[in-house]
Amino acid sequence: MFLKTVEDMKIEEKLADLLVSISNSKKFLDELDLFKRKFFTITEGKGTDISSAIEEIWSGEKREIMKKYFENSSNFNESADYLRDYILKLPKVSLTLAIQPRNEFLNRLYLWMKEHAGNNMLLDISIDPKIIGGLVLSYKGNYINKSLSVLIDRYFMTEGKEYAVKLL
Amino acid sequence: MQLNYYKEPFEKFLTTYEEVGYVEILSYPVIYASGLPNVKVREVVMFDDGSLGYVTSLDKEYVEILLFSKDGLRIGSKIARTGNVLEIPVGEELLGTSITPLGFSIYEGYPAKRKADFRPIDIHALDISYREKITEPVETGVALVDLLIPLGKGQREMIVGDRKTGKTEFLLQTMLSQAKKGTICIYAAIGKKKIDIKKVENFFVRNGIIENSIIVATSSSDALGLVYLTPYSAMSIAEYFRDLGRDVLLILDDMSTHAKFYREISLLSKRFPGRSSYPGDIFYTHSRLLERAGNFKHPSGKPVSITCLPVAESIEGDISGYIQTNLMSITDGHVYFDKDLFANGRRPAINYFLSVTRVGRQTQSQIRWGVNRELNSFLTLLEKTQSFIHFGAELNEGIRSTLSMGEHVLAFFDQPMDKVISINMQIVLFGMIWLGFFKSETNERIQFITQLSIEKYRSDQKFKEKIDKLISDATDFNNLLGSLSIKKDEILSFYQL
Repeated sequence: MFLKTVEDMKIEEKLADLLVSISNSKKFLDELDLFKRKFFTITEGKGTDISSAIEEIWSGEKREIMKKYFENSSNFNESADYLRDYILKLPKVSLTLAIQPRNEFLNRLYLWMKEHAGNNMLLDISIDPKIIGGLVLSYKGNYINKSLSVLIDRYFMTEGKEYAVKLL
Repeated sequence: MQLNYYKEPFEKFLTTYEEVGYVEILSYPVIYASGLPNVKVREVVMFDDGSLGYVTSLDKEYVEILLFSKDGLRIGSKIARTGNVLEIPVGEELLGTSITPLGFSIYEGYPAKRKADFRPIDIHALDISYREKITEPVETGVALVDLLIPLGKGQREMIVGDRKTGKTEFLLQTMLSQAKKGTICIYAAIGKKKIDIKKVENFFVRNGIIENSIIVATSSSDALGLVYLTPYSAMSIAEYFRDLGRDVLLILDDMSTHAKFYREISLLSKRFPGRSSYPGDIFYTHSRLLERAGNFKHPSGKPVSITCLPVAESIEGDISGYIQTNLMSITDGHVYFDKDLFANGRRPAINYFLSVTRVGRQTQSQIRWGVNRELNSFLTLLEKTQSFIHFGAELNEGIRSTLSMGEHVLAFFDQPMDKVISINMQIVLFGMIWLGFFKSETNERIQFITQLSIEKYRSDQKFKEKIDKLISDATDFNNLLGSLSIKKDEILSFYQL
């Protein structure tokens, strides 16, 4: 029987903090599939051992997390499936920005949102230059449009209209 | 401020209500969506392609939405709340148009005219304190119905019969007769063939009543959600004109098709099927619609009515089907079109023994009451006599005269589709037949005389005045018969027979 511990949960959360966006999570899930295939060859007695497989696939902080995750596991296959389900079930926050964000900005945004939402999540980032600036956010059916285009529209419908009348 | 989903773009609704949903399961005509945390049942939602839907139920995980369009959606399409219940644009401009249940022209590329007001499509019927007793008669222009199964303004009378037995023809005659009197006629074509919708429109144009008529139409190829809405939309338009103080005649053609479309929606929504696979709320679906018709109080002091004629199709003459009997218990009577009578050449093929009117008789004048009583007892006698002669017994003078009179009366009731007879002319003609003015004439001659009377009543003002005076002077039917006997020569002189 495969049992999860509090310590394991923390590892998963750490992983989610590293992934941040849906595109990263997709990439990670592909890597996890690759790991499972390698694991299959390991158990067949052909390939290398688990730790060299992890080293081959992941690097940096992710490699350390995965090593820690699998070192206490008795059933690698179930552990990998559990991790996959955990990532797929993470709540998704849809975020529309006017320009492609830098990683530091994305991480800051993620941490701010995690702090306010109180749980891990994945950011589904899309780029739409039409919003000019600001962001459009939707989470659990709630939709917040804090884009510059809406502000400009609103301005032209209210004060801007008055100024335009005065000017013209 | 409420936004109008006929005018505002999708993004405006997203920004205003700050809620978004995503299509998760697409099971046409119903979709299941995630998100929209505060959406309400019966609220209209808008999809990112601009099409509309209608929230039918909510569960823990998904919102169930009925679609009003057939394509354009995919898994993941965004949905926005509109904060509105379903409404239809209404206004005097609707007169003379053919529209979809959402108020757009049925002709692609022809935008609907700008309307003044909006009305919710699915509302509760007015309560009893707003209602009046039905006291005014409705003239259908069809002698058989006006004299035997009279209808009243505000009555709900089901028209039932097999397909191709002349139901629609009768309805068109009724609309022709009523539209000429200034009544607003609304024809709701529910999931009909496009050619049939066009035929009705052509009939209105040909007879010059298009300006008093509105067609709310969906064809069988339209989205199921739209077909389901058709009678509700038509009723909302009828209510708009009622509130303006105009009498309305509303035809729902037909409710058994509506029930079938609703059954399809319910089964696809995984609702539990009941009798004949119809959903458990099929009765409520129809009763809450038909309860909106009736005779109502109006601030002007004069009652206004929505007379509703829902049509139901029977199969092989069986009027004891589920939907038909449901409608029978909702309505104030029914007119039954018999396929055997139709096959025997009777037009209209109405079986008066199986037809019922519950409130129509209370609207009748003394004279019409008398005609109705005489006719009913005579036709019962005729039926008995006809079954008696099957035995091949020798016929005495009394029976022969009953049979001959019966033939003349039935010939008088035979009426071509495009002709309507005014009620006064009907009564006088029947009186003349009853008194034996045309005793020696053949059935064909009786029909000819009837046609001649319709034409003379329409074109000859002197003749019309004469007929109308005969009726207004008579206190009851016997009194009329007395006057007719005295003025026989004078009346027959008009015919130059």
